[in-house]
Amino acid sequence: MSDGTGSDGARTLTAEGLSVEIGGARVVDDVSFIVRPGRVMALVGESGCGKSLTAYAILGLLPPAARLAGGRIRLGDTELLALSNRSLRHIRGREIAIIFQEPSASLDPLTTIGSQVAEAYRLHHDVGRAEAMAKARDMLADVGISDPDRRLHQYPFELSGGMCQRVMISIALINSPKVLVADEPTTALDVTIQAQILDLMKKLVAEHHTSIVFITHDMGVVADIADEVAVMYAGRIAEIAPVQALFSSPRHPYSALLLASVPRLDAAAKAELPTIEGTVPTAEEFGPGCRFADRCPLADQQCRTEQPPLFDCGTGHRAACWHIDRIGELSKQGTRVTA
Amino acid sequence: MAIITFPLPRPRLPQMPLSVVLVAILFVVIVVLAVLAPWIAPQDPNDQSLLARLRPPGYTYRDVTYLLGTDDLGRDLLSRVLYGARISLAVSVLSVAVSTVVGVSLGMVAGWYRGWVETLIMRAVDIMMSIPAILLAVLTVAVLGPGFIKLVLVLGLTRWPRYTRVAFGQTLTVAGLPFIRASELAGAGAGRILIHHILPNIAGPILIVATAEFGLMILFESGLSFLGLGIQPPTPSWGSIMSVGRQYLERAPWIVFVPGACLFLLVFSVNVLGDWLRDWIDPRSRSR
Repeated sequence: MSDGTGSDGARTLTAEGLSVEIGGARVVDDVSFIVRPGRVMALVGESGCGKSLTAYAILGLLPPAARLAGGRIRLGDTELLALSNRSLRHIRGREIAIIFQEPSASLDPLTTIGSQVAEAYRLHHDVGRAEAMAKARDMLADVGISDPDRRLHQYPFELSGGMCQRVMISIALINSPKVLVADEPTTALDVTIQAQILDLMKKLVAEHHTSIVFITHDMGVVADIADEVAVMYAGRIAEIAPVQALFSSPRHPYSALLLASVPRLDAAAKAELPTIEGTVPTAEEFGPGCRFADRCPLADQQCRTEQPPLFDCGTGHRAACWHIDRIGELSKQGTRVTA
Repeated sequence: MAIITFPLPRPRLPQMPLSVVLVAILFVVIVVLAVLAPWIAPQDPNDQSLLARLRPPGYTYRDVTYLLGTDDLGRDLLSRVLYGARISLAVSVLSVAVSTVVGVSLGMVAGWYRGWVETLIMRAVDIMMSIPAILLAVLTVAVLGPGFIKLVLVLGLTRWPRYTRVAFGQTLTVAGLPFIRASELAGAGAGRILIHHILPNIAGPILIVATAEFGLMILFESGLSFLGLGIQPPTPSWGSIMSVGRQYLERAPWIVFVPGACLFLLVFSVNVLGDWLRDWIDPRSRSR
């Protein structure tokens, strides 16, 4: 309520030094980022890099095995981690909403679409059932569901995956939250529907002035929807940058290699797709230095023993690498690999 | 743009297959007969006629025809079975209700909150289940004394652990599903999630336990009545009629056979209806 100006200083959501532990291992380590009003922040990384845990930490709903080990999360001026469960309930769904990867599994199979959308509204508004239903109907129409009057009385199993994701989006946005956390919302959908859902999200975000934390591993989706990108690797932010800066001049070797491994339409037909050698270290294998060192072509002794801080390398562009100035050597190596 | 309106789907009348319809009719008939017992019973169920004891069905004595025969005190078996249906139905329905409410709430709470709550409740379940229910019931009645309400409470409060086991396991499964997390993240509180989202999703297996328990309750009631700890004579219940008839099984088998057949038909119809109801709860199978 305080921001919404879109000016440079305004922040909707601030994460500072967020850390999550599972069984003593830091699976999310010192993650900080800022989400500005009406902007989309993408958290990108491989499976298990801690991007989803980061999102759940924001909502104060970590899985039972995980423990918050430190950090602060502020929504506007509210310190979320200091809130009781009861006050968090008033934030969840009204100020911060989330949509998931599996839309059909995220809806109660035994409750009609209408009741579920209406419930989301009634949880935070003191209105009668009829009024909430009318609101739900309008919201379903807003997210492009055809024939909303009929859909209200249908069950989730009668709808396609794309439809269910539209329903989830309408549940998430019916209270006009300040932040929408989208946890791989398009991964389970086919490409055509994926594009439609992304367009829909962009449109609705503009209408509702909602910021998005968009979690994905799909660089194509990032290019499509994000304003800023945080590339995560093994629980840490490797690089954080405006989307154009990241795509045109990545400064962390991991982001650079990741971008190089995205298939391109203009590449030579038979060219071998570059890959990143090795696998992500497990939590037990975390060394004292840079967690990407074992797979990094630029790594030296310092990388293995000392953890690199995030270095500034442009406006809003920071990378956690000791060799941000040697990134050029990588493309030469890259060509050698692909040739 | 042309406006096309679809008729809103109204909650449909349950569509039953013919076999289930027949069973449902049977069930309704039993319930109606039980309810109407005071008006349709040909005799006072406690009216004794010692000269007409242990008479077979169709026996006429002093212008009174005993359609289903008489028992050891010459009471009209038809009237006693009709009146007994009231007691047996009431005891089983109420005690199943008590144990369902207690057992399911405890099971859902244990499955939702986990931790020490789970330990407390589920260890209590283990203890309860390690003691034979009938023994527990006998002990309780022996201390509290017999009576209809006490019988219902004793049966209800000794049988809840089975429901708790099922509800606990089912709650664990359902609580881990994404849609529960989704509604938690939408700001729903524990009570709302448990009642609106978990309960309907675990109702199927609980219904199965409840219908199985329903028949058992009538049998337990008869067992306790037989021991003199349940319904007190001369009030008839199917269990007490059967337990008396057991002594005359060779001379007058109808005393056991008639209430036994009624019990069989009632339990059978409840089980069939329970199965059907479980399927019907799930909209995926309903909209065929």
